Amino acid sequence: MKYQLNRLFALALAALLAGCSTTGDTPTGEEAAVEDRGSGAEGVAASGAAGAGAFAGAALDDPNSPLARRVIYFEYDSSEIMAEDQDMVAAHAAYLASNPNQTITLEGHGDERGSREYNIGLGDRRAQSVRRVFELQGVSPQQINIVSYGEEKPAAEGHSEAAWRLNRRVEIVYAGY
Amino acid sequence: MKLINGILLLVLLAVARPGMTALTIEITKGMEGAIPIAVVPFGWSGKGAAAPENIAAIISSDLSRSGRFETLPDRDLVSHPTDASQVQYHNWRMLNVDNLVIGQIRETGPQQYSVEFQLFDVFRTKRLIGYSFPARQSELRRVAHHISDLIYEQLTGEKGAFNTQIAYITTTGNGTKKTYTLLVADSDGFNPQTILTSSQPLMSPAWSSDGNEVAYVTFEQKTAEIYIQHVATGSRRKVASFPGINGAPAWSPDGTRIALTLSRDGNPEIYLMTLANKSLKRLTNSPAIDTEPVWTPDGRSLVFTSDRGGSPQLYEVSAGGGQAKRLTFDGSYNAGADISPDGRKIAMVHGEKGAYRIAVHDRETGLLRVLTDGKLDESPSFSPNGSMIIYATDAGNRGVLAAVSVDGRFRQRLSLQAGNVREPVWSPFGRQ
Amino acid sequence: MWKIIRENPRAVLYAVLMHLVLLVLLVFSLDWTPKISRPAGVKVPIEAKLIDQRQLESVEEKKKEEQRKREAERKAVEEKKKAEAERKRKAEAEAKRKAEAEAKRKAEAEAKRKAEVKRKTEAEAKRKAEAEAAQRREAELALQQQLAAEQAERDQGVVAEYTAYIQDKIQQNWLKPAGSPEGLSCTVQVSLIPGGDVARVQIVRSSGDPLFDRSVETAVHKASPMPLPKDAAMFKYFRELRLIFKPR
Repeated sequence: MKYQLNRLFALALAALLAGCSTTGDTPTGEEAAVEDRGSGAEGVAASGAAGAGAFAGAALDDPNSPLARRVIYFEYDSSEIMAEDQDMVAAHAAYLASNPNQTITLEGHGDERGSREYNIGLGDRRAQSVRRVFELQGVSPQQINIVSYGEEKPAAEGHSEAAWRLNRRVEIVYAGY
Repeated sequence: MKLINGILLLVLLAVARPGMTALTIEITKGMEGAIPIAVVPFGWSGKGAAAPENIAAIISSDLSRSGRFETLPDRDLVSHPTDASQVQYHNWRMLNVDNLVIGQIRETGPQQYSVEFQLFDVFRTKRLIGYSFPARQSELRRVAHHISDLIYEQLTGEKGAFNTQIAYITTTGNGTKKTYTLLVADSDGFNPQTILTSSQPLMSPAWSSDGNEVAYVTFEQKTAEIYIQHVATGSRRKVASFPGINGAPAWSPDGTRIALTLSRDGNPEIYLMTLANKSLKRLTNSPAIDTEPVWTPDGRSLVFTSDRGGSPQLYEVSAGGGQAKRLTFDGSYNAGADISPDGRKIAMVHGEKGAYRIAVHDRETGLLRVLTDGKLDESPSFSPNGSMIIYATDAGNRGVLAAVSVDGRFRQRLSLQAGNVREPVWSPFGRQ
Repeated sequence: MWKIIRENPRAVLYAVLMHLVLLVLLVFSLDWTPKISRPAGVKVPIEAKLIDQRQLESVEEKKKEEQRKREAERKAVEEKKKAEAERKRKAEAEAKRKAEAEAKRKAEAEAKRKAEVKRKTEAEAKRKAEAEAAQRREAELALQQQLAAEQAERDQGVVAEYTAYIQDKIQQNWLKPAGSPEGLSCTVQVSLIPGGDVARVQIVRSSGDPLFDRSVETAVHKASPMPLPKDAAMFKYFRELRLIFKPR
C-alpha cells in the first residue's frame, strides 16, 4: 500500500516535472559515455555565487530572516518535509525564484544506522524531496545542485536518537556563502 | 531412543556370535568446534634477546581469529620444543591438543632471516608438514601469515586467507576538521598503509578481482565521484562523475566492468560500466532506491539493495538486465550485501528492533542467520576463502573492525590504529 | 408287549414249548461228552492146546512131561522174569538215560532261558540307564543353556550399557570437520587392551575424505581409555571394536 502510494506520488511528480530535466545535462538512455566534469565540479557551484551574493546579501545575512535557517530535518526513514519546516522551505524557494542566478546545493544526509550506500540513497531522496518543492515553487532546475553524503558527514556525533535526529537532514548551501 | 536401543541390541546379538568378535558401535554425532592446537614460541638464534617478530604469536592469532582453531595459551605449554626430536607426543596428548606447531627463526645475515616451522599430529604421532622460508625483516609478518595459511589448509582442507589484505576507511579529527583516509593493511589489521587522504568523505572501497586496484567513492570535489587507484603505485583515474550519486562500485569477476549506482536519471539505479570504453548500461528501473550491487561469482547476475517493496531488501537481477527477484524476506531491513566466493551465502546488514547486525542468508535453504550482536554493525565482507566475514562495529565512541567466522561461532575485533574505522573489504587471494 | 402276546397266541405257545424243551435238555444232559472206561491189568493168554493130546501116554511121561513142563514153565517164567527184569532194567536204564538227557536238555534250556532273561534284563537296564543319562544330559544342557542365556542376557545388558558409554565418550571427542560434505562415513577397527586403552586404530573403510578420516582416528585416540566394565570377564566383548562414524 505504502509502496503503491509512493509510486503514485512519484508518478504524479514525474508527470508534473516532465518538462524539467534533472540537474545534469548528460544524455539519458541505456548506454552513455561518461561526462568527465573534472576538477571543474567545484567551480560550478562557485561561479553562480559571484553575481547573486551582493543582490540577496541582506536577506541571506539577516539572522532573523527565515532564510537564516538552512537545515530541514526528517523523520526516520522519511523524506517528507514536516509541517513546521514548510514556511522556511517556501521562503527559500521564493528567494531562489526571485534570484535566478543564485545557485544552491542541497546536501542530503542520514543517520548512521544501516548500510552506508543505502544511506546515500536516503540522503539523496531527502534532497530530491526539497528540490521538487523548490521547483514546484518556481526555482529553476539549473539553480539546484544535489549531493548526498549519507551518513558520512554527521552534524552531531553519538549513537542516540538525539544525534540521529540532527543528522537526518537536508542542508541548503548557497553558493558563495 | 527405544528404537535405537533395540537396534543396538540387534547389532550386539549379531556380533556376540563367535567368529565375529568385533562389537560394532555407530558414532552418529560429533562435536562442532575449534581444533585444539598448540603453537610453541619459535626458537631464536641471532643477535639480541628475541626475534624481531613473534612469529608464533602471529600464527596463533591468525588461527584463533578464524574460529576454526582453539590455541593453547602460552602459560599452559608444558614444554617448548623447537625441534622435532624434542617433541614428546604424550605431553601434548595430556593437554588434549590435536596439533602442535613448532619452529625457529635464524638470523642468516643483516636483516636476513630463515623461518622454519613444523606441524605435528599429536594423536596420530606424525609430522604433517614442515617448511623453511628465507625472509627480510619486513617480510616476517607475511611469512607468519603464510605459515598460518599452510597450517589452516593442512588441517581444514580449505585454503587459508591470512596472507591477504583488507582495505578500509578511517576518520580522524572532529567536526569540520575531519580527515578521511583509505588504507590497506594485512588481514589481521597490522601493517596499515595509507593510500589516500582527504578532507572530504571517502567511501565504498572495492578490490579489483586481481587485487591490484581499488575503486572507491570520493567527495573531494564536494560531489560524489568514483576513482580507481592502483594500490602499489598510487596512480589513479576517475571513472564516474555524474550529477548526483556516483556510488557503490563493484568489480565484475572478470575485471572488465564495474557495477555502480548513479542517480543521473533522477533516481538511484544500478548501472554497469565497461571500463575499457566507459560505456554504461542501466540495469534497474524503479522509483525506489536501487544501490549496493555485488556480482555473483559467476558474473551472471548481481545482488543489490532496493526499497521498492517499502523497506530495503536484497534483490537479484541478471547482468543482462530484466526483472529483479527479491531474495530476502526476514525482517524490515536487509542491505549492503556481499556474496561468498562460492556463491552460496549472502552476508548483509540486517536490521531488526533497532539493531543492525551482520546476517548471512543461505541461498540453498533461504534461511537467514544473524552472526553478530552489535547495534551498529555494517559493511560485511567475505574472506576470499569464504570462511570469515570482516565487518565494522561500534566500540563505544568509535568504529572498529571485527571478524566473525561464517558459522558465527567466533568473533574477534581486529587491533587497528586509532581512529574511527569502517568499511573493511577483504582482498582476493591474489593480493599479498 | 402284552399287545404283542395277545395278537400272537401261537407264537407264544411255541416259545413256551421251546423253552421247556431247552430246560429239559439242560437238566438231563449236563454232560454230553462220551465216557470211555479202560480195563485194568490186561494179561497175555497162555496156550492150552497141548494138555489134551498128552493124556494118552504115560502118566510118568505125563508127570515128567509135566515136570519138564513145569521146569520149562519155570524157566520160561524165570527167563520171562529175567527178560522182564532185563527189559525192565533196560527200560529203566533207557528211562534213566532219557530222564538224564531230558534233565540235561531241560537244564540247558533253563540255562539258556536264564541267560536270555539275564541278557534281556541287562540290556533293558542298560537302555534305561542310557536313557536316564541322556535325559540328565539334556536337562543339564538345557540348564546350562538357560544359564548361558541368562548370563548372555546379563552380559548383553552390560555390553549395551558400556557401548553407550563408549559411544558417548567418542562422540564427545569427535570434532567433525566443519564444512565436510554430507553423507560421509568412515569405519575403523579398534583394538583395546584390558583397561580400555586403544592399542590400534585401523581404517577399514575410508570416507574418501582425508580430513574426515583423520578426525575419526583422532577421536578414537582422544577417547582412550575407553570406559569398560570392571568385570574382567567382560573384556572379551570389547577387545575388538568396529566403529562406524556416520554423522546424521
